[in-house]
Amino acid sequence: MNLDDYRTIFMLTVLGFALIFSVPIFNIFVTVENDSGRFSEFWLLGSNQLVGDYPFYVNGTEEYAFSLGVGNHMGNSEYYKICVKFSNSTEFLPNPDLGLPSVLPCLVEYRFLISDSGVWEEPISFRFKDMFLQDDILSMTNIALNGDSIPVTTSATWNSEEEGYFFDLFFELWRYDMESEDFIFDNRFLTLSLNINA
Amino acid sequence: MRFAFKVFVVSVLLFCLVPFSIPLSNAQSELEVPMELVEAEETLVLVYNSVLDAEKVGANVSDLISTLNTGVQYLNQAHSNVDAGDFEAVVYFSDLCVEAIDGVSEQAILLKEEAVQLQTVNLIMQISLSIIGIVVVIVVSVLFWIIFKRYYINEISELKPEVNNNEP
Repeated sequence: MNLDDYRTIFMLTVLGFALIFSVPIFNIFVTVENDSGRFSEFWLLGSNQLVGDYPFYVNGTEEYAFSLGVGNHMGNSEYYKICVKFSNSTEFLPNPDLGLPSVLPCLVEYRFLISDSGVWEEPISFRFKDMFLQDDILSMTNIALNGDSIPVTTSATWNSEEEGYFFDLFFELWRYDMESEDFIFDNRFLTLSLNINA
Repeated sequence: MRFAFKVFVVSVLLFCLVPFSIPLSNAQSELEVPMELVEAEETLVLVYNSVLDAEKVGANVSDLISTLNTGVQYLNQAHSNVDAGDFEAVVYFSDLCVEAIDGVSEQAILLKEEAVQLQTVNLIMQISLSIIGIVVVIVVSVLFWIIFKRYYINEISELKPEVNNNEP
């Protein structure tokens, strides 16, 4: 190698080092926004804090428990609300393909704020207080959620194939949107299917 | 013919009533929520917005979020009392919500200012260190090149051509 070859290698090495030291300056002017990894976690655990032991066969005397949880991975603090709804198996559930919530009214709302990477978890108990059976139609008129009595008007007909009166207790996750200045459906919902004994 | 005309007139009247009936039904449902609750919700959102502003510039807002959550819990209780029809309790919990989050906005503004100052200092430090680093690399490299060049030229000049004396 002659001196010119050494000079070329030397210049490239110096340029490399200079670029390494100038990376912090480039970072100031070039910011890459990565929204792909931002999401909200939403989970439902059974009474033993496990993915299982969910109440399914339900009667009108016992109280059943589970827990709901939300994890915030949105990159900043978020203001959430969980909308609790109750339906029979033929009524409208949320449509995840269209990102639409169920048209049914909220029985109860849980609002809370979560810091970035934070978690919210709440034990929920429920009991069906008033129900009556007439001509193979089971009508629910009252549900107690965490001890608070809430009137409902939902009924289900006897399902002879699966043998039961099937209802869904479901939970929609909503997130406050600063642009629209209102809560928007986060396209996440969880359903607790129940076979209720009259 | 007369009956058809009556039906037509009634239909037109009913059609004209439609735009008035819809806002009326909405207004009735809106009246069910006391103003105190609406104001408490608006205040909470405004304060939350100021907390978000502080968070965006890198301030640690976990304490403020915790305080805001206390307000949100009161708001939840106010909402559940709306459903129960206990409007005195709604007003009571709405007022508690506003009290609980009182001063959070000011704290958020202070935290934001501190975070902006810290960010500026960090920025200056970052730029300064980068520039110093680049200058050091260039100076050291030039010195190294000068030394290397001298060494290389000396090495070359000390080399003597080999003479092969194969003559008899």
